Amino acid sequence: MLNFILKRLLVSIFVVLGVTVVIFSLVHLSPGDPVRMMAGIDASDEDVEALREKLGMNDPLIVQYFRYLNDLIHLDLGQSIISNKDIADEIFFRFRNTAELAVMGMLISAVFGILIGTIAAVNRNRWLDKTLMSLSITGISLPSFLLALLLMLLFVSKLSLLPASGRSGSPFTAEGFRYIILPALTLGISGMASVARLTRSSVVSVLNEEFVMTLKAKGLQRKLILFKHVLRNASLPILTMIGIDFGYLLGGAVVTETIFAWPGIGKYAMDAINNNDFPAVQGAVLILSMMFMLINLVVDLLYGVLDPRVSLE
Amino acid sequence: MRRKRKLSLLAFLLILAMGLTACGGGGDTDATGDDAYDDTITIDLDTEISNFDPAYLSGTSTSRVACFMMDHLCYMDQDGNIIPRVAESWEANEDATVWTFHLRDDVKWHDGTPLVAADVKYNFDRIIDPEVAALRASDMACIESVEAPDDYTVVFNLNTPVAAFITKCLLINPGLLAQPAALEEYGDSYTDHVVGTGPYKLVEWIPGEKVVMEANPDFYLGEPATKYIEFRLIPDSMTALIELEQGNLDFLFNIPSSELAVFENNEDIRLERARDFGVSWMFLNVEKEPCNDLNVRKAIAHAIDYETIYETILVEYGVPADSYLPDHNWAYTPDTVQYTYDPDLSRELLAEAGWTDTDGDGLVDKNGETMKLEIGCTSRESDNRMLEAAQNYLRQVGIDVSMALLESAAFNDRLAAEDFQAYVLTISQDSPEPALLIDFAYTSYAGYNKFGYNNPEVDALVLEANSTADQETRKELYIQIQQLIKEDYVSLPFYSKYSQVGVSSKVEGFTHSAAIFNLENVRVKK
Repeated sequence: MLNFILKRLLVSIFVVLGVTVVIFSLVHLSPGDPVRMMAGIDASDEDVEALREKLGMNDPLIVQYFRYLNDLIHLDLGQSIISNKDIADEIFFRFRNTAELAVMGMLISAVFGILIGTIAAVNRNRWLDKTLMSLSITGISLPSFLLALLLMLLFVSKLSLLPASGRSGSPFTAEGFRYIILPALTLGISGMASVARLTRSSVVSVLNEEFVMTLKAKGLQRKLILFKHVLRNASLPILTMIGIDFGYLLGGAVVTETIFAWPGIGKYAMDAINNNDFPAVQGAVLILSMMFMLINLVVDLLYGVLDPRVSLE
Repeated sequence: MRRKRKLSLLAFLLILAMGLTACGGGGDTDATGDDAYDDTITIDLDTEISNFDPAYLSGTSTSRVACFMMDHLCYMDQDGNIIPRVAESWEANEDATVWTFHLRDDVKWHDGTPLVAADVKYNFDRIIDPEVAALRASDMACIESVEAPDDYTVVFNLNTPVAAFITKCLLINPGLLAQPAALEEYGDSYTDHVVGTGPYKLVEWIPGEKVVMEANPDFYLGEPATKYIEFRLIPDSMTALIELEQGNLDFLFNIPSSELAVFENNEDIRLERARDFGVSWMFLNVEKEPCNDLNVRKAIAHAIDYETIYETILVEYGVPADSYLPDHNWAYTPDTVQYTYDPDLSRELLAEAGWTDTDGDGLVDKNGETMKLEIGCTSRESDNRMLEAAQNYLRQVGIDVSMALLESAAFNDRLAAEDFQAYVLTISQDSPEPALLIDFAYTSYAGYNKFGYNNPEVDALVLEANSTADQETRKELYIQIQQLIKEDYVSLPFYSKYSQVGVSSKVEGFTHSAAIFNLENVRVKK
């Protein structure tokens, strides 16, 4: 297993390098001049050039790229063009917030998704199954901003139960929980729907296997069959989906974060893009790609743990 | 068995919901002093703070926050007239090249040390220092040197006369006064450690979330009425509106333009309006085809029915305007060429310029080529609707207009490159100073002159108007300038907009103004 991890890490380094090249090029080639944007349309050309010089953006792109790589090796993500703040600090700060939201969203989608999918599978082809699966199509099709606004209209505008935006301390406190629950539900509901559908088909296919019939013939209780044997065997594809979904959530669901003013990394990246804050965009995307790769690695490892048939090479 | 599980799940959810209701609502602010009032005024912030260092401060939102913590030498009243602040009086020499300011002797920095003239000199020396590469250094290019002959006198020596020196150079972002010691100690992290002389001090800035400020008890004009001000970052305007309705915000600047009707029937919130000092225009690029021809520009100007457009579309956004200054400006004159709605005249003028519809497709052409006019516009809703209407009128006289609706980065890029044949621009102006309103776009060297306008007469008159402090003389000159610009048919004024803010009904003591956002006497009922 150690071999496997090492090999994957090595490959990851190349992937990260590739990511830096792609992001660097994309960001510098997109329209909009961040220096002019900072200075203002009506700033004189001299002012703009002076600023550009000060920020080191007059050097040829290749020089800027290698300077960037050099900084990366020293774990320096640079400073935001707009705020002069250390990007690593800004990202770390917001990453915690996004992680909270992602974990919460993932828990909601995993727990309820598996629950619903299992119920549907066990009741397959009956009305409960059909209802749940139809609802799940709605859940998947509903765009996140619409879901967010609906939840906000219901729980905030109409019922005045919850706050509309912001974050107030750790979500493990009662106060903090009130702020995270709506954005987490927004993320969780669409995830829940996909997990439910996948769980259903996965559980159904395992239920059809011969060993289940054997277990029933042996007289094992239904609950035991379900939890101890069926779910475990059905879990692999579900796990992969949850893992990938989690990676995506960690990317900071930008729309949800923006609507609920959740101070996360998705919104940070979006603002950086709008302001043409190159170093910030590069930093954010880089961190996110690395997170994604890390999660994929963990999911693959878990595969090996959970399914002895899978050998990692 | 399964039914039991489902029931217990339901019960759990119900209990959770009840728990949320129990925790919900309720004032989370302590009363300090007066029990009937909240100790915090909460305001929305629509984009992240850029930087509080006056040399690098940009953006309306950041500026709004910064002005609570740092002062300019002077201030404005609700109508935009200049009044004392840190400087209690001032005078200029006859040709407006030497400006002397007398400072109050009771102004203190937030750490208790007194503000002296040397501090002011430090700030301005720094802005004009090329090493610092301040964002708006060229706005201060007129400053040759700054002297501090004694602790309470500052003298600005200009290399060119500037009648509106205070508005143009002192009341802008780089004119905010920061404590030199703090700037030197904190450098790039000054934003986290702002030290100014303003009515509020920085308590904390949590990037991505909020800025919290606390009243300055030693503020030289008296301690502000409310202890804390909190700016909350809420990028989505709908969310912010809901927060205002729920009472979680007291002021909302970023109002979604489609939701103005919400204020009409709601007792909890009201819409405060004030006249902005600027005008919305469509600029015609005189260096590009087809607008390089005066007759074409005249044709365009007379093809549009401004009155109808105003009454049907723009009435909710502002008041009609027919010049470069809105009608409530002291230098405004109605005595200029009027761009009357006359489509027949337009067609005649186009024909004179050689543009007629030879191929019967309803569009004018010349030498076999149909006239194409692309008009650039940002995503501002009022501009879009205005342009759509104008497009229709222009089509009726045979001009094919395509709208280039661009998001701000792309728009600004093309604008800076002077790439538009024509463009719509609405700029908020926070001061009635005509020098600001004319100089920003209509001199040949103006920063926002992206339409190639170059009229030496206008340049000369502007220079003259800047060279004397006498208001009557300046007014005469500005009247001439307005007349000339309109005779040149280089831009079409549409309306002068409202500056608006959503306010909770719990707020007392507030009057909205396009010039300033002052909360020193504002309180919020609980």
